[in-house]
Amino acid sequence: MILRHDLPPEAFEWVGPDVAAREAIATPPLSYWADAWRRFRRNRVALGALVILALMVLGVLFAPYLRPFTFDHIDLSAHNQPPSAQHWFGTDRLGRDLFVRVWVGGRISLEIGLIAAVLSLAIGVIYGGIAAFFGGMVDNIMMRIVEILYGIPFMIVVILLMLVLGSGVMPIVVAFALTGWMGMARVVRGQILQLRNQEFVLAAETLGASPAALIFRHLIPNTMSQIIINLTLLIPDAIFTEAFLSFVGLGVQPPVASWGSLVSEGRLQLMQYPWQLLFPAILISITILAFNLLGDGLRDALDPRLRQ
Amino acid sequence: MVGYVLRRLLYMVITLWVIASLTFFLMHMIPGDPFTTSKILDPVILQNIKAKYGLDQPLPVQYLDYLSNLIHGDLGVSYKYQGRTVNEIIATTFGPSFTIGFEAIAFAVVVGLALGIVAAVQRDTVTDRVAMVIAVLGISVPNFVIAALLQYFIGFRWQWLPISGWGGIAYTVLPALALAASPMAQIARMMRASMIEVTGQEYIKTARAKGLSMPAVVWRHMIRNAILPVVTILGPMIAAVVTGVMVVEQIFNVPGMGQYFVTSVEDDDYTMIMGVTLFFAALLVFLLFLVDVAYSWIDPRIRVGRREA
Repeated sequence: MILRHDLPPEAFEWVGPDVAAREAIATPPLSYWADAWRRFRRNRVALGALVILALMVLGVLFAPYLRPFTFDHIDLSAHNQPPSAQHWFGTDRLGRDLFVRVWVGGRISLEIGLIAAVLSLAIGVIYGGIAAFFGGMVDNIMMRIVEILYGIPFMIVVILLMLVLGSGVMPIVVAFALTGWMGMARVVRGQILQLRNQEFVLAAETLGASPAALIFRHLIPNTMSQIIINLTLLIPDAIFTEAFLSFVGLGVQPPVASWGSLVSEGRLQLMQYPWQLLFPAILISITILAFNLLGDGLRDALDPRLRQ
Repeated sequence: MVGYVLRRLLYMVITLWVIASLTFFLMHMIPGDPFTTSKILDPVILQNIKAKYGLDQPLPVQYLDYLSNLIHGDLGVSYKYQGRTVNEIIATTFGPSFTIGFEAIAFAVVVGLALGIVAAVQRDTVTDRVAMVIAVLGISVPNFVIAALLQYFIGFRWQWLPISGWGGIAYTVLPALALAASPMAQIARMMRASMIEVTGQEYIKTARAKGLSMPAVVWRHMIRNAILPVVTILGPMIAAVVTGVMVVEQIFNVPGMGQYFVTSVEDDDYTMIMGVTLFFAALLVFLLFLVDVAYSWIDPRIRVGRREA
């Protein structure tokens, strides 16, 4: 404890305010995104996931050219071979090189995942944005529709759509986009409802901004973090849906390969040649895992309030 | 509460009607019909067959017939399996699917909750890490991969359990495990997060301060409060199990509804596809309804109209 009488008033000296020091900013100014990146960088798991995904993209782009085979090159004299120096991942029952097929198949899987997720994201953002912006009756009707659609088993609708559209890459993308947007619509609506009554929106409105300008210039950019988090979680969903459909036989058709169709083919000879299933299964699992971890990391970085 | 249940009930009926109509019109948009694709029939015979199944009627008439049959619980006759009604086929194939699905959900709930609770109580220890690694793997590895791996190692390599087929409880274990992995992982993650959130609450401090032992606090105060949010994911989880049944039954060659569905898709057996789709959908919509009602019963705040999670 400090004894009061030890410090006489003369011991104190008035130094005056240091105006410059008071105004100086202690840490360099960071934009929201720079700050998020700083938080994200410190999360080693999420950073690792990002690196893995980058490697995966490089792999599907370039790895097939490391070997002198094409994905549909059939060599019946070399069928069902185990992994070797010649065929790094072995060959399938028609003698096609699995290393090349796995990476070329990954191209299709990632492509479908990205395009389908972005499409359903676009639908969800537009739908949710409109519902929240106009509010009242419009919002009520639009959200009741979502509530009803939400109750419909998603995979069953995808299967029905695949029957109508035929099998292949485009039908999968369309089917996923048509069914996957509802969660996103709900998230965007919730966010925009919160932002709608804030001063900056009111200011823009007073200055005569059109509804479209308000939605796309002011409201959606402010919901971007939520949209990005949802996108990273939508992509593995889309990849999984593709794999599921290809596995059931409704997805991509041979000789085209995707991770799902490769797993499906590999399963037929699982007891004799387990590696035919193992390689595509490992790649698809790592990819989905990396997207999930990245999504977790992004959520922590972009929305620190949610951190647990 | 009554008003809430009635509103959910109305939604359920509308959802079912939308699904029924969607299925009907999508099926009729598929080019060709089941009788022209396989072999060329005599026009007269073709006409007779179409008349037998009501396919010669105009579309609106077919639609109304179909709806009226549905209301009476009649899902029609299979185009493929002569003389068998869709109702009969569902009745015989529902058992195995239900057994597997039920086992999977029970396993997922029990093990998922246990993992989540242990991880939260032992937070930031090795136990926590291991539990969460299991959970993340469960979410990331597709169920058909898990199914194939289980089949290869447990069924084929070590021969602990039958590889595939049906008969007796031993045959249900592997399919149920494969189905349970992903929902179990989701429950574990959710339960852990929810438990940790509860740990920070004032009433936990109060309980500790009044001298309650830690196990008692966990059991009497934390788990009861933490479990609430987990109930909300039961709905999507059941949906995942119902669709997962399709693949898993194919892999393990279980004579269930999922396998029939996939076969009927391959055979263009329209009435079968529509019937099984509707049955799956109705089952799911009904289960979701139960989850909603159960949740509002457990947590009165929902009833007052808090719509967003």
